[in-house]
Amino acid sequence: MKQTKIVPGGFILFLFAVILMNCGCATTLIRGMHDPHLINSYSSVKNVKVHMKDGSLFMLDSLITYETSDTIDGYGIYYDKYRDIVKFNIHKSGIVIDSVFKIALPDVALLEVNSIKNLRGKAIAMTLISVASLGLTTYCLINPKACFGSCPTFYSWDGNDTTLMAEGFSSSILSIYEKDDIDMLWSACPTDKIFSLRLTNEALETHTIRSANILLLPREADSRVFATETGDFFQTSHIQSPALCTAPEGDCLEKVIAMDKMERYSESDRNNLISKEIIELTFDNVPEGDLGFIIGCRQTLMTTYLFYQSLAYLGSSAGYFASRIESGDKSLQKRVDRVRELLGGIELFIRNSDGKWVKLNEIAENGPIASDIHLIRLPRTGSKELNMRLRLTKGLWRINYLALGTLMKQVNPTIIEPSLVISEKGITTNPECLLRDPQNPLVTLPGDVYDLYYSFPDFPGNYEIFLKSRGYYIEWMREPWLREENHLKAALFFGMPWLFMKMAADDFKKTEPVMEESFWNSRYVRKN
Amino acid sequence: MSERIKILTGIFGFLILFGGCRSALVPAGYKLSPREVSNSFTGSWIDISYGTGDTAALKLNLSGELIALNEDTAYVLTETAFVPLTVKNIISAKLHVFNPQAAIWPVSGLLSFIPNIVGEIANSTGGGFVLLGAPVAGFGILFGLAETRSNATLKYPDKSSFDEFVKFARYPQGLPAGLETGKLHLIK
Repeated sequence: MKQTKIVPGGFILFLFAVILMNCGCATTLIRGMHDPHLINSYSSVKNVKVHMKDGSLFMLDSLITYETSDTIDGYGIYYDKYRDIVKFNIHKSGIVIDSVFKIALPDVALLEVNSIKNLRGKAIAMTLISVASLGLTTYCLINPKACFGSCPTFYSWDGNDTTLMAEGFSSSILSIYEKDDIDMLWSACPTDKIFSLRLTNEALETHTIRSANILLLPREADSRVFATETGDFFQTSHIQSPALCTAPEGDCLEKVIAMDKMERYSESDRNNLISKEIIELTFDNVPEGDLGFIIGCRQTLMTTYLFYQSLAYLGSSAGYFASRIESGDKSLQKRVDRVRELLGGIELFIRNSDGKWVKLNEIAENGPIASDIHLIRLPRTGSKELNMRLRLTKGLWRINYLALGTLMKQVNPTIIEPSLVISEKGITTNPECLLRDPQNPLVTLPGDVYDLYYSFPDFPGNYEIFLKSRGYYIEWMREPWLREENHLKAALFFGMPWLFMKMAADDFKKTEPVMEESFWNSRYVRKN
Repeated sequence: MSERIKILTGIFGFLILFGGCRSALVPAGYKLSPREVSNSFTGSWIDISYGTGDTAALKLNLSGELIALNEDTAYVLTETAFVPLTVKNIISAKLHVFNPQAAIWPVSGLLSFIPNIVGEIANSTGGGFVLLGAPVAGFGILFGLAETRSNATLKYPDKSSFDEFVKFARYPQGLPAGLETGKLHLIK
């Protein structure tokens, strides 16, 4: 199976070493010895040694030859046959201090030219790698909260490569927050009846995964299936992009018309992390019938940063507070929820026939890794033009895709459990019920990689593929975080988050420009 | 000792051992970097194992500057004497063209890797900082391994013919007429 072919990392390294050793990449000195009479006329050669028949040597910075002359000229040093300096006509600094050497060609035995192969390229490559590594390391040393984080991550074959498709239950930071998470595998491309997903733990976290089922939904030609926040699936056709999409920075339509790598995002507010912004949308030629608004988005790393910062402030007490929340301390749970509410989701407003803006729904799925696609059912307006607004916290969301579609019919999924779960390390503990028995969850640690195999009922089938995962994860405390322990700030964070968001804005701005890049470069990504 | 410290110690050890693969004892004046070779006005340093007569029972090891080479004789200037050697009696020879670079790349990789080791020890990221620095350390090691194919050292009879040594002699054109060998001296 193409997408699950596993090549051990050690073998790749070995292969690379063998290639490198055999590709002629070694530093090589090429010494050319030339007959003086064959040297090109009117040419100039640098760093040349002129071996004379009497054993003496001219070591020249450059050598000039003339077609009509039987001498060659040059500047450098003249050694006698015992290699004592007789004369030099150029200073080390390159200043000419004496007349040019005029060397009679009949007295020349050989011309020697040296060149070095493969030294410069390797030096440049090593410098570039070192500078990049040093830069990223320095950044992560200064801003450890911007590095080494994620959630359960799922990869699959997209027809060209194994790519990141989904992240599971990002908001389930404790077992009490455990919940189902449905992610559309937008670009998954099954190659036969056995479909595979690669599950990785690329963070300093413990992931407890109770289930990771595939939901197969039938789809017709020219339609796709999308899921609402309540877990209902609709076949959707006549999918159209907005005619206009305007954000505070101006037109952003190009960034949201396709589920590609282009995303619309903004930077956070310098004075308040919960400042809001509005994106205006207009759809033309709106068809009649049931309509749905489609949005593909993910969060920026602001939530990750704030989550890590809160753990840092709690420091050695983090475990105590976590256990209190797990034990059912409602007041603490409310404080955590309050922070989430303040940051908010993407609120969707629609202008009704009276011209008033009405809030329809809010997308609030956490997670900065993989864009997920959501469907929001729209009320019938009877108008050919639809005006909508998205209200969101500045710097918190990356919007990948916006569209309108006609809801054809509701469809029910076929649920497929993994038939096989194989650890990359070759450990198959409890293989019979791994990811099939919720009471016996799969627990993964940093660097763990599992391949999940699913048997589809037929192939090729016209399906939309979703992943439904359930579980929670525990973030590991880091030593530098403990140094930031500050219960006063923790109290401010959970007690008066609206004030904290103002006070933390400036600090966050300092790391925000490079946070995304550093995060991606610091994860333990291992593809097939 | 924690697993993490063991891994880091292992990496250090490997790089240090790898960095220790140095060339034999070559006088400073003949230990040239690849770039310095084009400014050298001497022959390359050569280590020769020489068997006199028809048998190698009387084996002689000598080192010096390769002065010249003709069809049947190699001329070497040692610390004490100018020695003509019959080529057919040379058992083995090692010519030091330039300083092997095998140690430089791993050492560069190690130096660039130090911040990652510091980061890992200070932060306990479960290998995160080590992984960040892995490419630079890995490339250092691989570049070092690639240098095993370099022509920094020519070995006779294993990898080179003796004829290839000619152009690395002080007088590649052959011994000049009228040379007073007593006046020849090594470069300090």
